This record gives sequence, structure tokens and C-alpha cells, in this order.
Amino acid sequence: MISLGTIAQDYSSWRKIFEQSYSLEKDGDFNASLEILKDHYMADSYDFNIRYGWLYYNMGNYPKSKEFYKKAMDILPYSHEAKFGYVLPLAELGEWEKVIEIYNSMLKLDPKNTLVHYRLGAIYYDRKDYQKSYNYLEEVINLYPNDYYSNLLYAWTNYQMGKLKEARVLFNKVLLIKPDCESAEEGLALIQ
Amino acid sequence: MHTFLKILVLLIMSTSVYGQIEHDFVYYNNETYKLYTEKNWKDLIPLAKEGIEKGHDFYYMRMRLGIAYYELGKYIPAKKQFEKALDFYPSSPDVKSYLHNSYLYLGRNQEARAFYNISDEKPKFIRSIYFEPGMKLSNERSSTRNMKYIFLGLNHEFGHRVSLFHGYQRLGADFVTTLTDNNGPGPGGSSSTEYKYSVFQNEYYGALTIIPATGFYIIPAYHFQDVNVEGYHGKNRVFSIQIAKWLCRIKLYGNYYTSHINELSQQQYEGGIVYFPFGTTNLYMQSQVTVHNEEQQQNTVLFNKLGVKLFPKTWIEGFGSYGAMLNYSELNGYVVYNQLDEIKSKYGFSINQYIGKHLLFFNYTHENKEEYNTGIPFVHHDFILGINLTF
Repeated sequence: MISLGTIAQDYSSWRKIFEQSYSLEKDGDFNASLEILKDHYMADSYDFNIRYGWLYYNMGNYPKSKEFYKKAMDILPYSHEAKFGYVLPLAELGEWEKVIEIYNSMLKLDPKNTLVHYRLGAIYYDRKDYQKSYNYLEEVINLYPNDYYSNLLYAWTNYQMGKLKEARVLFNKVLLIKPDCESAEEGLALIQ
Repeated sequence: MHTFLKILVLLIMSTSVYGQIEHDFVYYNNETYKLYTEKNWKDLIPLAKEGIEKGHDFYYMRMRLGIAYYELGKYIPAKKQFEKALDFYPSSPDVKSYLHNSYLYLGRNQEARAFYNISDEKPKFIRSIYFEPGMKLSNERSSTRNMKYIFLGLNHEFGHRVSLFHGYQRLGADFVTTLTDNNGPGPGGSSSTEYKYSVFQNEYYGALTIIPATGFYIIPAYHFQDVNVEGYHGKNRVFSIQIAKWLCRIKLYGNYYTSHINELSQQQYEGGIVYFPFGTTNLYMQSQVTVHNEEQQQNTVLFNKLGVKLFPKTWIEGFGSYGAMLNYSELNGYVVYNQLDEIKSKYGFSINQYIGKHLLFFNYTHENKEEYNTGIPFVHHDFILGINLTF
């Protein structure tokens, strides 16, 4: 049985090393930021694993980052934070099917999550599956009608689907949100 | 001396330490990415291969390696890497696009459409039209003289994995025989007359190409000849089947032929290999062995070919066949030698020129023959032009 005193002591020492780790990260020294945590690492700690996942990701060590984010996900299966972290190395490794799988699992828990909808919209746009992209982006636009990135991608999706009238309206709307948007100007020029 | 020893020890130590350097994922990922952005394909290839061997195998590493080979025109190893990349990201439009183009550059157009149809191209009932006129000029040392023929063929697609190439051929061959009359002793007692006659053939050839999986072909074929010569009317039939498989830089194939030519039955067993040593179509070599059986008699024919890419769209090939070719079929039954004169050996060259999607080729073959009833050796110079219009 772990006494409350031990836990309190752990938190006290962790706070110190986490503070140092954040400071080193701020300086861009991800390696040192990770090294300082290593003597205290606990395999069943969500906090350590998610931090390791993030630091390995920033160091460019994607297989390691994936490994630790996975551990964090296994410890707290409902954590969206861990899943948003996990998809980072997956994307860098090109494991896009797995990324979609993770996002879909997130939508089961939180069907209206706009960040997930936007990202799935972007993935399917890249795959030229414009109908799917359209469906995901529509969800975002309904909830955030003036979101710049969603409107821009939605405009291009409409353009790719041949919905030129809708695309024109959307490109013009994007220019209201961000008047110097070159991509929207380009879209309008292609329609005209 | 002491200093020298110290330096030596340090040198040995530093060498052993250097030898133990183990690069990690970050090194291989960053360095290959850097070389990729610099388009330094030649340095990228060994480093990416080393990284994969060390277990750093992932989608973008395979893509970088595949693109490096692709940019160097090495489409066979490029294809292999893209196929590996597809294992990591099965619906990747980028990989499919590169695979599609790699197959096209390798001349495997039907497979490109069948398996990586990026532009959603539909099968065409008439994919191509093929026209081939040819003539054989004799050196006139025997009774066999010139021959000429035309072939007109069409290639139909039934879905992306099945296609039919078939066509009609008309062949005419001229012969001259000297007839001698003996009218008794004295001047003018004997006379000889040249007797000319011709053989005409109407022919049909059809080959069905089935591609069950990438790099695997099953091609059954049928060739029919209707032979007409004064007072004689004969029918020749050849059925053949080819099974071919690509294994990286090698294409292996086997053929079986069963035929009835000139009222005799034949069987042929054929095995061949085409090798692309550099993984490009710049150089390739083909070797083939055929065992020909006819009425309890067996003989072997060897065939070799060397192909070289001369210019971006021009290939030249040199080839030769050795062994008795009589009542003999080749090219999966497309060519049937039913003339009575035995071909002892043949060799020649061809030039293949692509003009856009279309192919124009010229072929010359020197055939060493032996007249069937006299054994007189003679030569046929075979000239062929071919045009394949692709839509």
C-alpha cells in the first residue's frame, strides 16, 4: 500500500523536475528536457508517458514518441489529449489509416469535435475524396461559421466537386474573414 | 617513440569508437529527408536502404527511396519500394500515382490501369490497332522465292484485367520449279521450262491476356491458317498458352504449344527469362529454350535477345535463334513457320520507336534455310514494318 506521504513526496520532486524540463524545452533543448525526467520515470504514469511522447516527437524520434503516447492512451483510454498526441508521430510516419482510426474513435466519444472533423476533412481532401471531406467540413462550418481555415478548405472542396457557385460565395466569405488570403484570391481567379 | 605509441593507441581507439556509432531513427529520417529535398538521389538510396535494414522502415522512408529510384529511371526497384509504401498507407493517392507511372514507364500499361487506375480510366473496346506488313526476299538459290504478308489486328479490353488481341493475316509466297523435257539426242534434244506457282494463306490469330494479379499473366492463344496452293487446300491449327511472372528484375515465362501443321502433329515446351540488370528498360536480355516434338522426333531451339535503349523513346534489339525450325511456332503462336523449308538458324535486329503513345518498328531477320526436297541452302531476308496505334 502506498502511503499518502510517499505520493506527496513524489509530487514534490516531480514538480521540480517537470519545472526544469519545461524550462529546458523552452530553450529548445528537448534532449536535456527529456534526460532530466529519466531518473524519475514511472511506466504507469500518464504524465510521464505523455511528456515523453511530446519530447520524443519534438526530437524527431517518431517511433519512440508513438510508443510513449500509446502508453499514455492505454493508461487513460478516454484521453483526447493522448490521442491528439498519438496522431502526431503517426502522421510523420505516414500511418494515415491509423490516424483516421484514432480520429474515428474520438468521434465516437465526442461526435461534434470540430478539430477532429476539420482534420478528417483535410485528410480526405488530400486523398481527393471530396465528398467525405465536404461532409466533415460542413460539420465544422455549422458550429463555427467564421472559422478561417475551415471556410477556406470548404471553399476548395466545393470547387473540386464542381460546385462553383458555392465555392465563389465561400472564397468571398474567406476574404471577409482574412482580406489578404492569397489562396482565396487564387480560387476566385480560377472560377472567373 | 612513446608519443608515437600514444597516438597509435588513440587512433585505434577512435577508429573502434567510430566503428561502433549506431545511427538512430532521427539520423536516418533527417538525413534522408535532407537528401530528398536536395534531390541528391544517388546518396539517398544507400542511406535509406541502410536505415530500412536497421529497422527504420516507414511510409516516408519507402517513398523517399522509391522516388530516388524513380527519378533515376530505375522503375523496377522504384515500383518495389512504392509497393512497400502502400503496405503502410494503402489508400495513398501519391503512391498509387507513382506506381501507375512506374508501370507505364515499364511498358506494362494494362497493369497500370488494372491496379493503379488513378485517373479512373475506363476500359476501351478498341484500345489499339496494329498493322504489320512484311516481306521476305529470297536470294533465289532455291525454288522458294519471295513472300509478302499483311497483318491487321485489334486489341480489345474487357475490364481492366482481360484483353483480347486478334487479327487477320494474308500471306502470299512465290515458288519457281524447273521442269526438264528430254526429246532425244542432238542439239535441242532437251529443254527446260520454269514453272511458277504461288501459295496463299488466310490466317487468324487471337490471344486473350488475363492478369489475375500484378506481374502475373495467363495468355491462351489460337492461330489458324488456311493454306491454298494449286490443287491443295490445307488447314493448320496452333493452340498455345503462356504463363508469365515478374520477379523484381526478372520476367519468367513458360509456353506450351500443341499444333497440327502440314498434316503432322507437334508439341512444344518453352521456357524463357528476361532480365533487366539495372532495373531499367535501358538494357535487357532474354534467353529461351524450346523443345519441339513432331511425330516421335525431338529437337531443341535456342533463342537469345539483347535490347538497348538508344534514345529516350528508341530501343534497338539484336536477336538470334539456333536449331531446326520446321512446323514451328513462336511468340505464343503469333508466328507459325509452316513453310516446307527448314530454318536452320536466324538472326536479326529491330528498331522500336515510340511516337507519343504509338509504336513504330522495323525488323530485319536473316533466315538461313534449307530447301526441303533438294537440301540446297538459301537465305531469306525478312523485312517487317509495324505500327501500333494506341487510344
